[in-house]
Amino acid sequence: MKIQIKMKNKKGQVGETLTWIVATILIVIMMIFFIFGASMLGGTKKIGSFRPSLTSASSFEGSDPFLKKSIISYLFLKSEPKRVILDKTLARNAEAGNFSIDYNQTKTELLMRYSKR
Amino acid sequence: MIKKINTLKGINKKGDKLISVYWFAILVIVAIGIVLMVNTFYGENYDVRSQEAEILAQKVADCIYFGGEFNSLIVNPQGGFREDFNDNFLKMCNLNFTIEGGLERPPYYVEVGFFPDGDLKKSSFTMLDGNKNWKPDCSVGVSQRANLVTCKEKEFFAVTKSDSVYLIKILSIVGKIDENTN
Repeated sequence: MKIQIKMKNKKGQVGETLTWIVATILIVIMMIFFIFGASMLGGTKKIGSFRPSLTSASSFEGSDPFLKKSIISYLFLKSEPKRVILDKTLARNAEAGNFSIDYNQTKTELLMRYSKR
Repeated sequence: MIKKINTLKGINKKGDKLISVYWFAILVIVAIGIVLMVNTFYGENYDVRSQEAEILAQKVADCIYFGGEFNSLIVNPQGGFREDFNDNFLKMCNLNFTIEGGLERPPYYVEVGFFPDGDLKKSSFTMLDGNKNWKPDCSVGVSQRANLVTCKEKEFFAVTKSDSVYLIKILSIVGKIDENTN
């Protein structure tokens, strides 16, 4: 008696499919973590000050127009006592670090420029 | 009893086509993830309000005092300050705080104080314009300032033709909180 049994073994295919499903779920979970991490790292960025090589603190051409206005006022003052008071006030402010460029060097440069005229 | 097993000719390859679909699905998921990550990281705003407030203060300072002289529109021949300059302050300094097409309050505030002989206790003249509701936010501590306005306070000394010295303090505030906070 011949019995022909056709055995269709699909266990291999099912095993691979299950592996892929688990891998897909793991990859999706990892993606969610990475996207969350990217959103945490990527906040609104503040622009800080320029690099020191671009605007040196000791350079007259640095960015402090308010100090330059004050020094020009000092130069235009006719009264000597008022000049002394203003100079002392500005020196005090410079020591307190209120200026972004060097006070003495800026004053010297401006004195030279205006004395040439 | 003979067991007939599938021969090479009868191998069912439909499973390979299904696995290829999974490959493409994984690739698409990873690609979408990378795009989202890059977009999230580089898509955020840059907060330039600090520089904006500083530029505003510089513009106002140049309008009031430039080249060692006061603006002739702000100081009268007697050496006093003209009230009409305060009323048309923005127009005379070529500043425009209003947002075109919008009804909301301007996102800027400027206050200029003139203190004779640097005496901060008495201000002989004050000019202000913009949204003054933001001024109290400037006194909030640093740790809580993340979602508030940006304030800049600048000062300089100015001299009139009559040799009077004034300390001029400029407070410039830039709002735009919604555009610059997460």
